Amino acid sequence: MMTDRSITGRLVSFGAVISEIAIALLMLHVTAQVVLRLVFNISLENTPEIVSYYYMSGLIFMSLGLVTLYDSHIAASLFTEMMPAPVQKTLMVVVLFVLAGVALLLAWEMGREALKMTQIGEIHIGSMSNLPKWPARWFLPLGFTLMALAAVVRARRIHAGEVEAVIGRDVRDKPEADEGND
Amino acid sequence: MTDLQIGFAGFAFIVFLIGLRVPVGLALILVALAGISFVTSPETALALLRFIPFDFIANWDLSAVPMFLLMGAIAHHSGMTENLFSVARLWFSGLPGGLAVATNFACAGFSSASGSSLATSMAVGRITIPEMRRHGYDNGLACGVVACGGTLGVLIPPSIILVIYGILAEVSVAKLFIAGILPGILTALVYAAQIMIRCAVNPALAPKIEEEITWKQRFAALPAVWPLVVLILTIIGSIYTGVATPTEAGALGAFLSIVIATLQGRMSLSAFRQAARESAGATAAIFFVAIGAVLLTRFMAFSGVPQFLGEFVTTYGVGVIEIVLLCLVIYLVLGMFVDPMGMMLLTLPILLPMLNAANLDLIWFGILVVKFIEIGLITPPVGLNVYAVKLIDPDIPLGSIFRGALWFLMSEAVVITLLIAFPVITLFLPQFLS
Repeated sequence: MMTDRSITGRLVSFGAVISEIAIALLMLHVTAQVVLRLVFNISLENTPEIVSYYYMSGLIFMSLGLVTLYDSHIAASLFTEMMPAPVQKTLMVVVLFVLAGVALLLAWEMGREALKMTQIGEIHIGSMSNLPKWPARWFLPLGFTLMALAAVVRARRIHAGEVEAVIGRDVRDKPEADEGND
Repeated sequence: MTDLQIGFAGFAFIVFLIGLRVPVGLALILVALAGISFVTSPETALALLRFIPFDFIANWDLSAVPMFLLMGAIAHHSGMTENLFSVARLWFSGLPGGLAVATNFACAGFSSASGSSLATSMAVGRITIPEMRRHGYDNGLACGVVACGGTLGVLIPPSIILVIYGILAEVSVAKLFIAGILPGILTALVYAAQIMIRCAVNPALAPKIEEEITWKQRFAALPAVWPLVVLILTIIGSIYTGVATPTEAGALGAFLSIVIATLQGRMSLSAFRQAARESAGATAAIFFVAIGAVLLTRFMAFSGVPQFLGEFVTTYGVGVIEIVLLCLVIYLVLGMFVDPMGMMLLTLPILLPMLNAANLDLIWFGILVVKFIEIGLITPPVGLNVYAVKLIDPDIPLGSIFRGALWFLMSEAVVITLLIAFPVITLFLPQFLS
């Protein structure tokens, strides 16, 4: 588990805890839905919508900070590994600032959308009952803000020589495993 | 510049950015936004940005991805790999290269619980490589079989790549999963045959293990693989019979993996949290790229590239084989430096219009794409699976692992030729799917 005690580290860790809860709920809710349907022929109202809007948004967007802080994005380091270390370092700092800029733009635009949907009280109209949809939209601006913060902190750490630029894992407090995205 | 030129230039610029180690998702989003702004207007680009990420992520079928990642992570903790290998060992150790054959089938078995090739190689390799080395096996063979056997993880269901491919290509994920079964088994068998032939010709590669194993012992060990049987029945069985969707099968599989790991005394809250965090992070990394790929698809559509390629295919009568070979070349080149998921998400917005124009069966093509991606996983200079194996035993030089993988690459050539020549191998099972 992560042991980063900085403010950004704690925020990112908090986001990751929400992701853990979301993925656990996804598994339990869908399992319950299948078992109830097969055994008792009971259908849980709005399961696909709750799964898609809330759990998926929660687990994906609230993990973005962690993925960025620990350099787990899908990226190709073949050519940069051949570059001299100072060039790598500068390049990665620039890339991370661009990432932070784009993440802020995404957070801003999605925040506007979330605000608009909150004001109109966006809902999903189910066959038996309605499901509020607007709260799930807030995971996006929150997640991308975390991502922007994490990118800036990581850029600062690379600049300060605390982490390696390309091989990229924080030698002091990396998570134990984060592979498996192929 | 015409819109079409902007489209092609944008694509080339993405490849350039990826080469500079810009995260693939960022490269796709940046170029797509700039391109859409050029071709239409910045307002259109920002409007797309407001709704695409949420609308794309909020997808029931895509929820299968985190579930299969979670299941694989937990299965890894459950001790399933040790049991699989010890049973496979009893059954195959009498054959030439027996431990390597056993490793190959342990990979195939673990693939039924894992949707990722890297995870399969790591899980199986940690147990089998030390064992093979202890018995004097050639380093190239020992590591090659783990690196290449691991690629079965993306072919034998479940498969994360096939879920994403299915959504983007708008084909049934269930059918893709079922379509992967026979090519997966075929690959495992061709790998096994290759190992046995090589070891029979050159016994120094794999010294024979002198131990007497009776048939009684072999059958007595079989019950140890019950967790795998439960997972296979749950996932493939429920999808094949139409009882559950891939997402439901994934959730059930993840839940059962936790039950199995708990029964075996290997599950704790912290182990679960580790698996959950790891799976959520991997899902986020994949989906950041996928959001970029959806934006890229819109950019390409605005610039007219898909229409151009579609017309090119129909005007010049480009055939199925030519397109498949073209894709093979593209994937071989990109596979040298781009991660498999990134590679697929980058290329599909360009390839799909051509495939549709050529009336190519997208289920069959999906399985071929996975095979092409597998090759990228085991060839230099990137070869992610080879690096994963190197992590397991840093003493073994990369060169000898790549040399070992070369033999499996030849086997892949045989399998791919068979799959292209006989599409029925891929399409036989899905046709029975309700």
